[in-house]
This record gives sequence, C-alpha cells and structure tokens, in this order.
Amino acid sequence: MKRLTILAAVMVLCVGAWGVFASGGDSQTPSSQVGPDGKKLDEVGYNPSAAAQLAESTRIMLGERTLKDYHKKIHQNGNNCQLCHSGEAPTAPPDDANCIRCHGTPQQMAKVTAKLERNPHNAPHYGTYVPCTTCHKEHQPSKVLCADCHSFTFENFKK
Amino acid sequence: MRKKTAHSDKPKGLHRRDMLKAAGIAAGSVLFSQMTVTESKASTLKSDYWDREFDVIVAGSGFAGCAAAIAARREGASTLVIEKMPVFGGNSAINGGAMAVAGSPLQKEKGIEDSVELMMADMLKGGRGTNHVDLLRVVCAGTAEAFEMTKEFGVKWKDVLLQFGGHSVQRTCQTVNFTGGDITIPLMEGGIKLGAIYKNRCKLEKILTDDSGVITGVLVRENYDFPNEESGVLRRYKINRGFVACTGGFGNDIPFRMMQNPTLDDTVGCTNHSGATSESFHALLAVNAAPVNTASFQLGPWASPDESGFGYAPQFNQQAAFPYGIMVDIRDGKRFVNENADRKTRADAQLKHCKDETGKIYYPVAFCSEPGTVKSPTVKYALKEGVAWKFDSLEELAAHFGIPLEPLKAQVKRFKSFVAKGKDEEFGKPIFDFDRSMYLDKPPYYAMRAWPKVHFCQGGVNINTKAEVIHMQSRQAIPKLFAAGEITGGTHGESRLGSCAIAETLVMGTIAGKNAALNKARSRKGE
Repeated sequence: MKRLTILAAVMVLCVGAWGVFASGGDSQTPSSQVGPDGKKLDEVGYNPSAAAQLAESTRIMLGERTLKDYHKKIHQNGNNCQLCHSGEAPTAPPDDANCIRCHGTPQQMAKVTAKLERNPHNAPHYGTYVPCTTCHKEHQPSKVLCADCHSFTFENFKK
Repeated sequence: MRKKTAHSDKPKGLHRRDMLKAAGIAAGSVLFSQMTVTESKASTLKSDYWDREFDVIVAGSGFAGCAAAIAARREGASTLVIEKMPVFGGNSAINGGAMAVAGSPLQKEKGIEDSVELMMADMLKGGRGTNHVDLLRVVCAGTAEAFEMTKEFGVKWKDVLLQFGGHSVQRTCQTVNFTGGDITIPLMEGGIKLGAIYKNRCKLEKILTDDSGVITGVLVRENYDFPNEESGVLRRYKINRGFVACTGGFGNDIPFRMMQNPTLDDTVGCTNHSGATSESFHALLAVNAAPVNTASFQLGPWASPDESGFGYAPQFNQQAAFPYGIMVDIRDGKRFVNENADRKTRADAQLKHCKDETGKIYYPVAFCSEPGTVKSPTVKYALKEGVAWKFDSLEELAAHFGIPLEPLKAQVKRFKSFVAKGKDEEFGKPIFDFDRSMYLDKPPYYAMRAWPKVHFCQGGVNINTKAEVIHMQSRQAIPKLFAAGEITGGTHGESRLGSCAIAETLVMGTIAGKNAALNKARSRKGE
C-alpha cells in the first residue's frame, strides 16, 4: 500500500506541474477540476469550453500537429479531432470506420485501385486487411508499407 | 499485499508513462468521466482488476498464431489473438509461401519417394546435428496433416515441387501467389469464422503472475502505434487456460542482435518485417523461460543488396539461379560454393570469399538461362525494379558486373559439362536428370547480385513436444505457458533449411493452441 500512496503523491505533483505548464503559468484551470482522485471532476458537470481546453492541452501535450491540405476543410483546419479520432484528446490512430464514412470500405477501395499493376488495397500479403492509417497519415508524411521491401511506387499516392 | 506483484516489479519506464498518462487525463479535465479515470488507474495498478478475460490468449498473428487460434477454438476455448502491428500476419505475411511437406500428394503423383525420417535427416544435417530431435520428429511427422489443414481453410497451392538448398529430394510446395499471405489471410479468416477475436495494435508488455508465480494474464498496450512506446494505453487481460507466445523472431532488433553477435550491426541487411523485435522474448525470459541458441541468426544467402528487406531476390535465387545456374566471384569469374547447399554453408562462403582484407565487399553474381527461371515467378518484377538484369550474351553480363570474361566463359563451360555428366565435380550440387532442360546453357541470361541478410532466428525459448515452455531452473513446463514458431528455439539446430519454417510453425502452432485450450482441468486445479 505504501507504494500506491507514494505513486498517488507523485501523481498529484505531476498534475500540479502539468496544470501550470498547460496554462502557460496563468492558472485558468480551476483546481477543482484536476483532483488526482478524480472525484471532483464529475461534480463540475459538462463544460462547453472544456472541449476547447482539452483540444488545446492535447495539442500542447502532443506538440503541434502537421496537417494535410486535402483534409483541412473537413477537420476545420485541425480543430475537429473528433471527426477522425472519435475523441477530443486523441492519442491513437483513428479507427478505419471513420475513414470509411467518406472513402468507402476497404473492399470498395480495392476496386478503385484494381487496375494498378500492384493493388495496394488488396496486396497478396495482407488482402484488404491493412488499416488505412498504416500508410495514410495525416500528421506525418505518409509512407506505403510496401516500400519496406519493394521499390515500386504509386503515382497518385499523396505523401 | 497481493497488489505487490502488480507494480513492484514493473520496469521504471512504465511508471513514468503511467504518470504522464494520468497527468494528461487529469489536466485534460472534465470530459473524462470519473469512471474512465478510475478504470485506467485500476487497470494498470491493481492486480485484481482485469479489463478482459479469455481462456486462451495468443500473441502474434503469423502462421503459428493463426494455427494456434484455430486449434484453440476447435477445443472450445474463448480465444483472443493480439498483434502489435497495424497489419496482421507478422513476418509470415511477407514470407515466400514455400512449405516442405514429407509425403505430400504432389510427391506421390510425381513418384518422388520421401519420408519423415529423410526430412529429419536433411534438417539434422543442415542444423549441424544440434537440433532438438524430439521437436524435429514432431514437426516432420506433422507436415502432411498441417498441409491438409491449410487446404481445408482454402489455401491454394501451385502444382510445382521445388527443391531448396539442403533438401535431398523435391519436397517443397508453394502457394499460388508465392507468399505467406496466401496462408495467413485464409487462416485468419478461418479462425475468425470459428469465433476467435483478432486484435491489432495490441502489444504484449508483460506476462503477469500471482504471488506463487502462476501465470494469471498479460499486460498489453492497446492502441499501440509501432514503434512509439509511449502510445496507447495499458490494459490487463486475464487468462484462464493458457498463454500462447507466437511472437516470431527478433532478427530486425539491431541492438539486441548485436548484443548476441556484434558483427550483425546495421550494415547487415535483414529480410524481416520491421516488427521482428525482441520485447516478447524478454517478457518470456522474465517468467523464467529457458533460452536456447539466442545468438544463432540465420543469414539468407540469396538476398540482394539492390533492394531492402525480403524483396524479390530470394525467390529468384532460390528457385532459379542457385539450383539451375551458378554464382561467381566477380573478381575471378569462378564459383566458390555449392549454390544449393544449406543456407549457413552458402552465407559463410559468401562472407569469406567476397570480401577483401579491408572489408570491401565484392557482391557475387548469380545467373541462369531463361528455362531456369520457369519456377521463379518474381523474375519479371525483379527485372522491372532493377534487382535483376537480362543479358543477351556472356560478354554483356561480364561487362556489366566487371567480371573477367575468359575465366567466366571457362567456368560456364565447366558447369555445362557437369550438367551433361549429371555430376557437379566442383562443389557437388545435385543435378537432376528430369530438370535437365532448365540448367545453365544458352543466352539470354538472367542475373542478380546475392548477399546475405539476417533472415531467421534459430534461437528462442525452449519448449517440449507439447509446446509447453520450459522453466530455466526447474526444467519443468511452466504452467499455462505455451510457445510456437520462430520465438522457440532448438528445432532447426544451427541452420534452418528453406521452407521448413512454415512446416514448423503450422505444426507447433496447432499443438500449442490445442494444448493451451485443453489446459482447463489443470489450471482449475492450480487455482
């Protein structure tokens, strides 16, 4: 139990430091919202500015994210994380389901590229089971998985 | 004090990550409900909280993992397959799709006599006699059945038999698209149909044990974004019957590789996928799995310095230039090894002969005539990608690679005379009468440069014939812990013969999955 207590204490310190960091030294975040035991968080209820705060703190935590021109309109220049990530503070690649809403299913995508000599959406190694974000990245340069072993390229692949 | 086990032996980095995450969540504030916070805390800190529960958890979705999942479901165990990469199939998916089968229907059809004993003898010779013979016997004896199993799930095989280096007869079957994906995709679909759950981006962090050391579950990192170790969240999965490690080799883990063999630094290529790293091996060692032959890395002598990773060269060299053509040193135009010897013999010869005192490499060139390429479907792609070249004369070939012409001509003439005699008097390469038309003869010639790349880990954890992992101190099976495939060591001794990996992984994966699922009675008694 001692270890748990120590850990909890360290977490309190961390959270304190984080609060200062996240708000740039200006303590805008009410201390009631950041109780390390989580108890006070729910009492505040839903706060509409919280989403923006959260997006902001996530941005600080993750660093400035690069964006691709062709998606800028859709995610409102990076202000709508939820659209792709289904969450306000994304730390994981989005689920394919969110790509599929606009781009079609992997099977449909495989048909779109079926005439290419090598169909990236239906490769002999993985079939149609490659998650979209394996190759297509929004916040970093995109890179085809095939390139790990093969030197062929795809002309229309947006980096 | 049961909680002690949960975090007292957690690596320090994990603490920091947990705290960062907790800090992020707290600072991120109100949208995270109290429940999320409690859950994430509970799931990483408490030893009695489990996020999910399964009878059998298989780590890794290559050949062994797919086979294990099918076998476990057939015994009625709830089964989860976790895969750390975004894509399923691991290194198996980019494998060449070649499987050695002792006594296949195709062999019978072609009148080729083969047996379990003969396959064992070949593998023992390749392995320099250091193979674990009990495992070897189980693998060889299981190949015919495993082959039938793949067909049952819709794997399509070509109507051609190949002979890879070190095998004394033609016994290797190959899938229609000559890749392991032809096997992993249908087996995964088959497993899912049987009710197994496949979860990608889910990395094994640690095998969890209770106070008495009995395995209770695994700590995993969900939403893992390889290779970002800070990504995702930690979760605890409970395991009722057995954990099956099918996590593959660690050939692409350069720091770990160099720890075992400092010569295998980052200048040595590797045919493995980027996820072929060693964390799962560490996790197994942490629960006292006995290591075997950890430094035994196989170098694939048929890889090309002109492409990265596995690429196209291995199939061209293995199925065309090596069996039916010759490989020469570009400085003297002479052969220097039996091109169809086992992999270790060939790679050792390349490293010995084709480097000068200063360490400068003179990549050897392997080539054959057009009829020799019949069994190598990748040659057209290799030509296009600049990995292989086509020449209309020996002069052209010699000029392109800077090989002295006269000695090269003389070498080709000698080899042609060996083919005519049916006997390779220089290096003893097997020459088959029924394939006579395929051997090196007239132009055009197809050529590729050949240079070893790290390909396979003969080493791994020690298992018995039931695929139970052996404890390094007690030398008894570790309860509830099973392993199969490249993560295990011993079967292949010092050098694995080509096309014996699919054979091993499918056979042992099935055994591991089945025994994990049947472990019900014992694990209950243990509780």
